[in-house]
Amino acid sequence: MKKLTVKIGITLLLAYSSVTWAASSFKAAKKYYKSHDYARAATSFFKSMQKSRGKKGRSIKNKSEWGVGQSLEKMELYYSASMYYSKIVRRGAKSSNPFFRKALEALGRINNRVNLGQSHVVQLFKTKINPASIPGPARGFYFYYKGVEAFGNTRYKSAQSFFKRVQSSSQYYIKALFHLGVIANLSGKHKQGIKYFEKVRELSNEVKNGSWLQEQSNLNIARIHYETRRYRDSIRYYAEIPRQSDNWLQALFEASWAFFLMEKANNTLGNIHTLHSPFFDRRFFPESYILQAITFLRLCRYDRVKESMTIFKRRYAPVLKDIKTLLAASERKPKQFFRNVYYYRTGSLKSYQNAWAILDALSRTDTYKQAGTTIQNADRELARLSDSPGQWRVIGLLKTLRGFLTKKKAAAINDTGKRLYRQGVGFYKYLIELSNQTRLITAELLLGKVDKLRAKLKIESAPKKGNFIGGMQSLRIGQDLEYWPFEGEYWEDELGGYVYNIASKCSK
Amino acid sequence: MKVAELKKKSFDLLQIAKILCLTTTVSIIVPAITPYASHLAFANDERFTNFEIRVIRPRFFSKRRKFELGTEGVVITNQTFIYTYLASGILTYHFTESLGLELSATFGASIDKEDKSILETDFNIKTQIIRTKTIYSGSLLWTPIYGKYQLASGRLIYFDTYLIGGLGTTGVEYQFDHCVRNEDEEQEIRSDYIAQYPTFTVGVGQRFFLDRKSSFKWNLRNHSLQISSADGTCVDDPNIESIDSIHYNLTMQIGYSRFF
Repeated sequence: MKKLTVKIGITLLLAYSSVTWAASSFKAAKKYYKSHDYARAATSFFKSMQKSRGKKGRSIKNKSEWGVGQSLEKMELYYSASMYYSKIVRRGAKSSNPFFRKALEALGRINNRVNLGQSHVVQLFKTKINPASIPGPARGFYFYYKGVEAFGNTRYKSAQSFFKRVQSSSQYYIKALFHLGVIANLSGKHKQGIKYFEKVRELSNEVKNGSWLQEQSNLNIARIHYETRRYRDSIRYYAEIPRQSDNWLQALFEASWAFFLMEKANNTLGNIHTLHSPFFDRRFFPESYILQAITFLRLCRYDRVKESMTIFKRRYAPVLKDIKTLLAASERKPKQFFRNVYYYRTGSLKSYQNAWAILDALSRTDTYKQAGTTIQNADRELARLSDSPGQWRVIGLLKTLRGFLTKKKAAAINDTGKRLYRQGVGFYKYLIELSNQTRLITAELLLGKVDKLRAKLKIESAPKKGNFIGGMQSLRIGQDLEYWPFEGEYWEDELGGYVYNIASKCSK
Repeated sequence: MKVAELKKKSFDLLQIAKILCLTTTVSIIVPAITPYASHLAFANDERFTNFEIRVIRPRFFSKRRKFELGTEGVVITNQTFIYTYLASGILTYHFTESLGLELSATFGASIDKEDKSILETDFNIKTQIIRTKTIYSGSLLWTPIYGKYQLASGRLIYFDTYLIGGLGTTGVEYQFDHCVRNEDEEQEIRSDYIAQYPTFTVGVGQRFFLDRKSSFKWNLRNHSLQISSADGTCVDDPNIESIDSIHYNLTMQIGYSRFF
């Protein structure tokens, strides 16, 4: 009994002293924060957070946790701050978690500034949250990512209702409109889809990453017009993709199909001529050889058909071999696969040279670019942490933050590696399918079944309305043009402007 | 004197022909080999029908139905005893990409070369000089060639090459400081004056487009003017036999112009 009384006494004394110590640390932290000494404020808030125990200490613990996040944010250590804000949000909206609303707002703000990564935010909102408890400024952030999560799981109706709840004043409004456009298009509501994308185009100048949204909207509108056989309109939007964009060649290639379906063989071949220029010898457009071959076939230029097929084989047979080896070596090793793409991008990859065209394509995906941004941001913060106050090491704050950032990087690499691998497999299968097609075309040509092959190509084409010059631009009456002959020498400024000048050899 | 004049005339013609020929060659061939790469196109075969692949695109620099206002520094290059420097204001209207009408007004002054002073001081030879003061002309511009350079830095510079043919007048200043009046002569030595002579101009030049509104330009022109020997005689005597001769002013012009 005596022993028990002593134990209880010691426990109470310890609890009292820790609460008192935590309270004094918290007081000091507040003072530092007010005087803009955020590094010391973070130290004191962290100490106070760790020392707060029991019911009495809970209030100080909550305040201190919020204080650490705020101090780190003020020091522009955004990812590190997001760790503390995320902890608060994950506990959900309840009376014992008074900083829930503020933390949600702060995360929305940080995400808009440094992009926390889709998986981070989606994971965050797995917690059941009553939408009514979400503060006004964070509603856009919340509904947008709920929409993204539903969209990723192909629950389009649910996604649509989330995206529609993003207010027009939110920073996520334009992105939500963009997704609404995609959903409308997927649901076959093409006109509505175009309306959404047009709206995004209109508003994109006002936001960060506006050029990306504008470009994606143009591509989507072009694709909708292509699907609905309005090829002329489709080409008009493809032409809006700027030359310096990673999507420019893709637009040029897709527009080649539109030209083909409009029976504008010279424009089709002109665009393909750009794709095949030495400037883009590492870009991955194998289908362009098939399109080139069937365009020549339409013009009854059989030697050129064979030539295209031969070049395809010569160029892509080694690619197939190397990508197969690379995929086999990286199976279930997402980190390794990611590294290969990364090393290719940074110019230090020496192996799998024939597969570089595919690695190049992977390194231009948004998946890779987003991971790159996350890694870059995490690395920047890790570098800054090495200059952090010595106290951070002593109290364990440095270890916590380093651990979080390292894990965040590793998660980004792992997740992106998996996604890139899946895309790599997709490219491999696509290449095999194209190889089979070339074999079929070559075989039928060899057997002299040209008529049969041409009959297969009687794709229902659209009216040949309109004339086009290079660069996917339609010819305007009275327009002043300049002509440059192609004499075997590629000029960078001429890329995208080529038009063939050959006639059909088919007997009428 | 006549012999000397004839020799001078044939020298001038030969020199002008050589320079014109050289300039034309340079303006066409040099862009093809320097400074890094160049591309030429000719207006009369602009569609390049014999080429399987062409680039067709909106013209980088369109002159059609535009005015070009410019200024040029002018030097007469074929004068033995003086330097003549002039400044020119030029207004051109481009009807099409290849045809334009140019109006120009040129004013300037001349400075004696050292040779002239040596002749006078050491040998007591006083020379009569044809000093060009003004040139007014209206010319047709034909631009048959356009091209582009790519510098090693990757920057593209567009240019065109044009030919000039026109008519105008040249104001020649006569100075009579070399004339010595004999005591038995009744007539006074003439005062300095400017005589205007009809002039025929031919030339070749190039514009280098700095952007879509302005260009740096140079050109070489030959101005042929028929002068009368009586205009330069020391006394104004109607009985003096006048001999007409062709005088050539070969000008090198460098300037800047803006289109609007």
